[in-house]
Amino acid sequence: MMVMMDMHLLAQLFRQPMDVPTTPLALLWSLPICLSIALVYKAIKIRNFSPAVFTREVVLLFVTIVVFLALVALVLLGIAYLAQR
Amino acid sequence: MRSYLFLGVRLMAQRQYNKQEKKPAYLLVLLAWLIPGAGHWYLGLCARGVVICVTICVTFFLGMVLGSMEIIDPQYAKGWFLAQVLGGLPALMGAALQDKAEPITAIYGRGVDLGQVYTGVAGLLNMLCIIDVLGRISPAIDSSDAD
Repeated sequence: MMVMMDMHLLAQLFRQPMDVPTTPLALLWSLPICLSIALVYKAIKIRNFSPAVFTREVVLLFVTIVVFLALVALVLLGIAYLAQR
Repeated sequence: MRSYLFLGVRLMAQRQYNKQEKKPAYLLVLLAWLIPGAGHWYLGLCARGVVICVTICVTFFLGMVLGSMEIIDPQYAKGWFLAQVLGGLPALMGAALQDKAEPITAIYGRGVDLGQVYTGVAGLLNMLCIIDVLGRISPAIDSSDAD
């Protein structure tokens, strides 16, 4: 019975879209996807696959992606600000 | 004379070894497409395979939680569907689990948008892995990486 209830709850997870508010905090949803991209890309590209090297490379790529996304956002914000003036 | 004989035997042994180790490309592509990371696993790169499998599956299912199963929608979101299908088994499972009794309707919202991006990117990452597997079995490319 408990298992059935758990399965039902699990199924409900996939039936309704999650309510994501339109606040600046919603931008944080870009972080998991950046991490996924960094993980898969480095899993393919790295030659010496040791945990320490892999972790370092993934963190480096993740930070690079996030910093460049922030820079692009700043440039776009600047353009929008200039267009409004 | 002796060194030529030795070289000949070595070449024959190498050829025999290459014949045994040669994996059929179609099987690798099918494996790598259906189960993300399985192509790398099959090539003996187990750690890479596990990382790829876990990352792509988690990204895909997170996308389905964000946007519900309706985001796998060949009718209203053809472009996203093409990217999602590259994800292999998770995408096929999602498509199969949709409630076929209810007609598919267009759904909107930021959760749906995010879900489509997550599942689409997961599929495209899997395509990258398939290309990498093909590159590794190609004799023109040095594939001496090891886990």
